[in-house]
Amino acid sequence: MRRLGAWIGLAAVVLWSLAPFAWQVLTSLKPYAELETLPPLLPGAPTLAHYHAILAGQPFGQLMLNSLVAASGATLLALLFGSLAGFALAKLRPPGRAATLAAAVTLSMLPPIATVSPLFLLTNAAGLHDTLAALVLVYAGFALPLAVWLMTQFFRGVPDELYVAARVDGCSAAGAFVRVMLPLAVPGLVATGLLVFVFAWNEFLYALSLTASTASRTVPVGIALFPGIHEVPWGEIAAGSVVATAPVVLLAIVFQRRVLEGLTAGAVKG
Amino acid sequence: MAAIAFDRVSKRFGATVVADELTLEVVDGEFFVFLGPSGSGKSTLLHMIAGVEPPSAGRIRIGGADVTDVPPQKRDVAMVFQSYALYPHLDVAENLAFPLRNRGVSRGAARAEAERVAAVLGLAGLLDKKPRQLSGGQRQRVALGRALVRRPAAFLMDEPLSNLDAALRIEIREEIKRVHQAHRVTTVYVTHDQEEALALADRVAVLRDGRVQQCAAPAAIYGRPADAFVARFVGTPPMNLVSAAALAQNPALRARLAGRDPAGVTVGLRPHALEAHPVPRPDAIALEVALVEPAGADTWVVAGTGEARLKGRLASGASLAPGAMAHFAFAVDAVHLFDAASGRRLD
Repeated sequence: MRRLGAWIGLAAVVLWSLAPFAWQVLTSLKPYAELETLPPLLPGAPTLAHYHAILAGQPFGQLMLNSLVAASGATLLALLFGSLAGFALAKLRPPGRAATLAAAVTLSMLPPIATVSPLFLLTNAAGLHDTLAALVLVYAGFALPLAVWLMTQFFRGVPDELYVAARVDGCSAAGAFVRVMLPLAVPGLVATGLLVFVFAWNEFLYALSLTASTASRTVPVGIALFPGIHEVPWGEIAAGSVVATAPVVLLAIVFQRRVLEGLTAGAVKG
Repeated sequence: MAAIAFDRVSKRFGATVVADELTLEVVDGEFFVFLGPSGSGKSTLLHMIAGVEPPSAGRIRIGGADVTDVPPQKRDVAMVFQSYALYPHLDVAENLAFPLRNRGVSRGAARAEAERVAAVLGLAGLLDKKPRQLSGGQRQRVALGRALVRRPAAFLMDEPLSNLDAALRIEIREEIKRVHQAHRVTTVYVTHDQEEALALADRVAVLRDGRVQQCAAPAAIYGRPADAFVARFVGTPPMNLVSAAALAQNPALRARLAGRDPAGVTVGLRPHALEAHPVPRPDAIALEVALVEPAGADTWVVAGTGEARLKGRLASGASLAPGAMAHFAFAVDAVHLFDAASGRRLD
């Protein structure tokens, strides 16, 4: 009985989470005539017309590339500095680490809207308006508190003895980080990287404020700008959303095992 | 190989005093054991020698050179941990070669050296295994091998046997002693297990609250404990410590006290030195039996109540049951006397 209850609960959660996405997929395949009618729920004659439209009519490839560069760049930066800071906070016991971590958590709760206008002025002053560099820097900065906090937790999970052993076995602090700590924190790096990437990929507000042209515009903003003066192209919006979601879903599937697997098994008593 | 010296070294973490003006020298080639209760911060002493933890005050010297400000990778010591601390992402051969590779030894030479050490420790068939595929004993052998693979100035061992089961503990303990006898590398070993300390050490330092209570060869630690703490901490079962006043009517003890006020003296008697008989003996201490504990070779008799409570060995061939009178015979020179107030040895 309890098992049945668990299954019903799971089914409800899955339905709740997947329904909007399923709706997008269905909409993206409907011919123009069926777009704004219900029934039919399922497209009568599935068509790829909307996909053709976005890939041909709009600079959608450029938008995808922009999103990829902005999200990847931000992820790399956040992982680089997040893992260095997390390692230091977890293993080197610098003074003020509790305050640093508290500050990181507080900063990650800051609403993005509060920083939009200063960041707009800053990027303009730096000559970075409407560039991908601006997005990379802003996303990395915004994701960094979370990355620092997560990586600190992951490095705390690596036994202190391993760090001590690496130092005694001839590594400098940096050598121990690269040769021992980092390989053991791979699941943490992957998990943190995924979170940062998805955040940057989905981000809308900064992307809207800091970009002005397709040179640096990302997919979420591009899709939002699909509607013309007289009509809302629901089919193309749906097709764009599906294409934009695909990379994130793929990433999650590929790295899921890596995130879950415990690499530290066997390091110490176990 | 090198001597290791602590020069007025102090270190504390909150309420735990790890070292309080600690001054002592570990002689070149010596097997030196720090013995102290669990949670007294003994590992930190090793971390300070290794350079992973700076002392709050004082200097540390290795081979005569002041290394207090030298980073760990330049101190040339090797460490073995209670938790093994093997690198889980590397296989056995890579674990063994790791300290050599960090010191610029070529891949081939490091591998050859790893294979040699693996053969010595009976790990030859396991070179391609990851640590998680090994048993506890195999893991500790790899950890030992990783320390052995280069000839360091000193070995630091942090309770390396504590995670092993009883049979393996004896086996690896012999391995450690054999390795030390073969290479005579200065070894600083930390443990809370007095039996390990006595079995391995050339000299033992008994620690309490960051101070050395006694530093001597195992025979002296066991035979002439410097104070009541050491007396109680070393030896199983622990030494009986009883106020002399409770036993003062015994003529042999009174003679041993040689006129000292019994109220100011604690009498120490090892259970091994007390022989419990069922029939009265001259100069024996008579007490009512509370418990009888068979322990294989010996049977322990606990007798008496409150102040005058003693544990002794049942005389061979005799038998005693709770409620009967036990008559504990002892040799006068087996009696240790400690000052009741300070705990210091009195003779």
